[in-house]
Amino acid sequence: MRLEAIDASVRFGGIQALSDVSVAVGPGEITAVVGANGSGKSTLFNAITGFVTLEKGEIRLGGQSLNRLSAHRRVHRGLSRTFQTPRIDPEQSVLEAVMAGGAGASRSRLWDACLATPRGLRDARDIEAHAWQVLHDLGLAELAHQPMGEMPMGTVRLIDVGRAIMGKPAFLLLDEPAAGLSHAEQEVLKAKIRHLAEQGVGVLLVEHNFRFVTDLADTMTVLQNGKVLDQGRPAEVAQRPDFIRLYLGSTGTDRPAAAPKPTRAAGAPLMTCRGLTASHGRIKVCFDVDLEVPKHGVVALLGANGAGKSSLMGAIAGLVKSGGSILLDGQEVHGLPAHRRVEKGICFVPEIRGNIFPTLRVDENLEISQRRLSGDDLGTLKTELEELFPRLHERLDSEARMLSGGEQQMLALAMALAQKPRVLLLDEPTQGLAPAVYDTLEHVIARIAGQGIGVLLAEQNAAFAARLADHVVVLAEGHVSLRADPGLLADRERLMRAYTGADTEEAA
Amino acid sequence: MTRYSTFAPALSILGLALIAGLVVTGNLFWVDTSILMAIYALLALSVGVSFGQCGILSVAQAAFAALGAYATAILTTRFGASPWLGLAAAMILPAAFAYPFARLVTNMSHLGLAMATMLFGHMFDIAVREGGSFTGGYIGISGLPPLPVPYSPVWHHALVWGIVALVVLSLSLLQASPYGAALKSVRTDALRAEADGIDVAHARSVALSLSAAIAGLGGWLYAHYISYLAPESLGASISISVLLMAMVGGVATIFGPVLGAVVLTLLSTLLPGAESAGMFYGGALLLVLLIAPKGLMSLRDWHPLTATHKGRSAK
Repeated sequence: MRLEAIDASVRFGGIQALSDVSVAVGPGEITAVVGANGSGKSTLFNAITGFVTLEKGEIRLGGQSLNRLSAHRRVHRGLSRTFQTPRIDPEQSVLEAVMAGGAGASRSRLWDACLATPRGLRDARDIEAHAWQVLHDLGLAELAHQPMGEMPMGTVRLIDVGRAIMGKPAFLLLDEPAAGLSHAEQEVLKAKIRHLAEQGVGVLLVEHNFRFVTDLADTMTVLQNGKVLDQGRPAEVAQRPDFIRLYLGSTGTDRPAAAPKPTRAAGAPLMTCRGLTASHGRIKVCFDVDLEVPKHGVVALLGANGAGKSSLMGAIAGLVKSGGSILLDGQEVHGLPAHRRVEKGICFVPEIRGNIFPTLRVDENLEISQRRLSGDDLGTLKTELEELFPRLHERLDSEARMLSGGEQQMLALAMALAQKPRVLLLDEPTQGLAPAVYDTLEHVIARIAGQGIGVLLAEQNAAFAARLADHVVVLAEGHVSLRADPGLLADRERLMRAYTGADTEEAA
Repeated sequence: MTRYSTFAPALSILGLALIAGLVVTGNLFWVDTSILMAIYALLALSVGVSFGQCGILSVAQAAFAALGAYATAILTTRFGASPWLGLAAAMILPAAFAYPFARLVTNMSHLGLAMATMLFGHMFDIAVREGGSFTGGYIGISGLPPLPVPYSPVWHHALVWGIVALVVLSLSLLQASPYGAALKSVRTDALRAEADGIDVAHARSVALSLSAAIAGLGGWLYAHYISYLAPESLGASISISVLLMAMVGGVATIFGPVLGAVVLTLLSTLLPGAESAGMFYGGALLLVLLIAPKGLMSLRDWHPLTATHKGRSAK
């Protein structure tokens, strides 16, 4: 019996999230799906488990179509899933959490429960016994009566796996099982997953931690923009240029850093982060990051997907729960809420141009961003913007969503500049843009930095970042794995090592 | 699975009711208050099942009770049926109404659900008023046969509180069972419940049916105890009152709604000032909700002895 997705396509409104993707997993096999954010991995996962409806294609189990079955019925057929962010009830005990996984397969009825009939009692006993068995298998029996809220992330994920196997699934689907786990925790989880596969459970996992996948999976499917980029054994796929390009990003020309830039950066840094951490709920994604952004300087923050770049940006902007210290001109701003940090001059442009209002016109967008300015300040800014973004001023009466990606990015930058930033945080400005726009964007960002604004640039596209940056910081799994001059980015092997976290040494 | 803690709420109610019965016996006013208190407790328990256990905010509980009450009133006065037959109808009819109704509306938000259930209550109210001689219209139905126990205040008192204890017992059993765990998953995280293989829409509808059946049971007791039923007997304001009782007592616990019913009934009876009593009542309510937003039952965690029990279960 095989679980197959055949030519699966999913559309959300105008976005084709998945087109003609086929993957398969048999009993005892481990198949991985990898890809960047927005590549369609989660959509594929949700389509297979029945949480998202297919536009076309088919999900088959042992040759039978599951398309018309709702999610809970697919669970009854033997498809069990975990969640990327484990959905836990912190007050529940570990035993109760695992037992909850058996509730769906329970055959007792309401009156069995209310009247405590023999069948209801037997059912309850069976589920409890099975839960103990699962806890013993996972080595968690001693924690059975502890509350879920006190468990570390690695244990929570193991418990989530335990909850999923309570229904005795034939196929286990794991959604980013390694996210937020330490190396030691990853090893434990890997061993348990292998053990399950040896018992004949087919495992399909969606993951962006590439190392975790190479160790574990028999086959790997790489998704990009909702399509299959490559399929094969992990070790082989990793050697192919397409995959390396996906991981490191590239422009059409793929040229390394141009002529050495004039040393714009000098003197004391404008912004200094010390021991910065970022967490999403209980999952810590950045650990003790030290970072300096000089006046006039562009610092590039590189790293693979899920390395923690956006979370770190969010932490600096005050939008993501964080710890540590952020000094702006020697003044501590870490205790301030996000809107006060904007007043202090930390301005964040989220990825996919998240700070623009798509259904408002360009001039309305600009007006909103300029609401705090008046008189001379406003006049100066307007002249400056007109000079920086001539193209934008030809399209003032268009709705922002009708602009091209490049124009939207210009609008996003123009809106950010109205906040009179001292430090500009740019999250993936090139995301989804045609390489033709890169030059313009590079020119604009360089001019912004030239005005004395410190720029922190998170980028997937290492080549783009190399041309702009004065300094490069590479993140891997939330830690700084490399600090270097942009020239070093030409050394792609070295960069690949830093991306996967294997290289933790610092370079001059 | 069935441990001491499962029986504790039901046993405490029996014990307290017995003591209360001894205290109030001979004083007809207080016997009457205690019996109405028990009926409110049943309605508050029905809120506990739907909202507390499964997260469905319903403001139609009095309408479900009225549906049960009218069912037994019509059966016993028009067709001469026994109150026992009336009891079956009073529980089954609201449950049978609630299930398909819930299938339609339980995907709504809290606010949407509150509106939808309120509209259901209004529609039922209008149907009763316009029901002519079948429902008694505006005049109502009188001359219902008394509760099928020996006609004495003590027996009535024992019957209503005994029924409350039975309902509490079966709800405790439900909460301790895998079925109860499934309902809890549905309440705290519907998506997670779906991934556990639980049919969320079905589970929610079953919970509202059970809740409606308990409300219907309350309606049956009310109708036969008062022996007269009119559209305003179990009106929309009762739905709000019992919702408040459940909230004040602690909607997520089994015992909470009963506690809330006792406390709020005592408050409204004992508070001074005939005209301004409502003001004191409202103030007291606000105070309770400010001090204990999760209900009075959450205050037991302050007590060091019982607090250490929490989250553990004696194996």
